[in-house]
Formats: sequence, C-alpha cells, structure tokens
Amino acid sequence: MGYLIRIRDDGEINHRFIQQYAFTQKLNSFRLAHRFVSDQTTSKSEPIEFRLRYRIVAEIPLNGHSVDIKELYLKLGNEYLGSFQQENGANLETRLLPFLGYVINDNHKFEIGLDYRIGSLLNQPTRHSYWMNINWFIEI
Amino acid sequence: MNRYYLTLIVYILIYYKSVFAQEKYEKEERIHANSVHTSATEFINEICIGCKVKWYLEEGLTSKSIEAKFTNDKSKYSIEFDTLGNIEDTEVEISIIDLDHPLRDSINNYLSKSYNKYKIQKIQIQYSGHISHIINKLNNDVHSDNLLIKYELIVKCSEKKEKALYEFQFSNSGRMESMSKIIFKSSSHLEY
Repeated sequence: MGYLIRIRDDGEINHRFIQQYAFTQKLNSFRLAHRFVSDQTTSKSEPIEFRLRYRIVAEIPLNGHSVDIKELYLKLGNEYLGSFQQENGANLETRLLPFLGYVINDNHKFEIGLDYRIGSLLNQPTRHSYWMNINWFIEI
Repeated sequence: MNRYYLTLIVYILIYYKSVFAQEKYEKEERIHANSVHTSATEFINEICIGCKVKWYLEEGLTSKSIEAKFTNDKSKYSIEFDTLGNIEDTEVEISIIDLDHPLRDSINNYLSKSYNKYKIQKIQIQYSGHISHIINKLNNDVHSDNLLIKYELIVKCSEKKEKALYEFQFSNSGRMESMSKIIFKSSSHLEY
C-alpha cells in the first residue's frame, strides 16, 4: 500500500493511492520479479484516473550465476500500464527499462538506466518519451 | 517538435528486514577454464567430451572451491572440486519420478508429517567417493558399493501461514540428514 503526493508547476496537488503485489522467482542463473499495481489519482481539476500496471523485471548477473557484493548486474524490465479516466477514456502505455546496477554492499545498490515510455497506444498519435533514471537503494 | 525534459527524482526507500537470520557469506564468480587445475578439467573430459562447461570459484569465509556446471544428454550436472582439482561431489538434477518408490515414499512421508503443505522444486542426486567409481557410475551406470549416494532437495514448505524455502539432504534410504533454510538476497530493487 502506498501514497504519493505530487505538486505540479501550476500549484495543483495530485494525490495517488497505490496498491501493490510483487513476488520474485529465483531461476537457475537469474531472477525474475513480477509486480502488479493498481492506483487511483485525484486532483481538483480532473476526474479520478484509475490505472492497472504489470511489470516484469529480470536481474541478470554479469559475473557468475548470482549477483554478489561488488558485482555488476543488468536489470531489464517491461511494463504495461492501462489507464481509465472519465473524460479521456481508456489508454495504454508500455515501458522498456534497461538498467545497469552495482552492488556496493549488503545495504546499498546503485543503478543507472533508461525508462523508455511509449504512451497513447490506443489514442493515436503515440507519444515517445525517454527518462534517464539514477537509483540508489538503501536498506536499513 | 521534440521536447526534452531533465528531471531528477530521488526516491528514498526505507526497507526494514523483518527476518533476522544469520546469512552465510558465500561469493561466487565465473572463472576461465585456464585457471582451473588440470585434474578438474581432465575429470570433466572423462565424463563429457565437448560439453560447454561453465566454471565458477566459490568463496566461503574459510574455504574455496571450484564448481563446473554443464548439461549433458539433457541432464544438468554440477561438479565441485577443491582448489587442487580433487573432486568433492557430483550432483545431477533429476525428477521425482526418477526416485525408487520406497525412497520417494520415505521423503514424502517425512515432508508431509513435518509441514502442512510442501512442493519439491528441485532434486539432485549426489555422488561422492573415489573418482573411478564416480566416472563408472556416470559413464556406464555401474554402481559400486563404495559410492556414497545422497539426495539434495529444494522444497517450498508452508506451516502456520509461513512459507519458506528449505534445502534438505536425504540419505539413500530416505532418512533426513540435514536441512537449512534458504535466505533470499534482497529483491527490493526488483519489486519497487
């Protein structure tokens, strides 16, 4: 369960309520993680937006058959994101997520990669956007 | 018109480990066949000519070992050597239906008495003993009484709403000899 608040440039505030279920499978030489998310976003000027998301991510070690400390890994993901909003109808987006990660120690991981989003698949023209992501995971 | 955005998003994820368990220190890395002792490569050549072998160095807190992994005739092999190339054990992945009925029943009886629900995910038959006996078993299916056979199982067990993955070792007669809980590496970077 999660909650996100976003304050836009024009000062409008979005509230997002998130429900998530995720699990990871250990296969012979890599791990696969499946994530299912539903979320609801509300703001004063727009009707509520409902989204359903499914993401599959593979963690592929670049040295050996599991990712250990001080080793690099590839993280390749693909996400499908369906949305519905009363005024805009239904829409679909897909995301491709190639990352390169490094395990610093048991509690810290660093990742850099791309988030390539292909949006408006149902309502043409499609929109393409590229994000560069830098992630740092800290476990305490 | 193309529009470019540069946005920096910082997520701070606080992830609390709910399971306190001592994790075993073990690190493995891929190594080249050239850095493996010739006794080990010669052993592999005896049982599998032309197989594509992946070599790994496994480091524990106090020990080091060399592991060869390959597939031969659709069976997955995992062979462990010490750093001098002496064989420690040979494991071959098998299916539950490859086990004799009495052995299969003993294993299932033990697991069904110990856990509400269980699912066997992987079985490996483990051969250890003299190198010539192992080669004879693998190449010609000739069994020597001096060959020690054990079974290593990965089992998902459920008990009182708690699920966990365990590694069991059973003797050739189906007696449970050892078990250990498998501690997963963190997957928070894959699930969030």
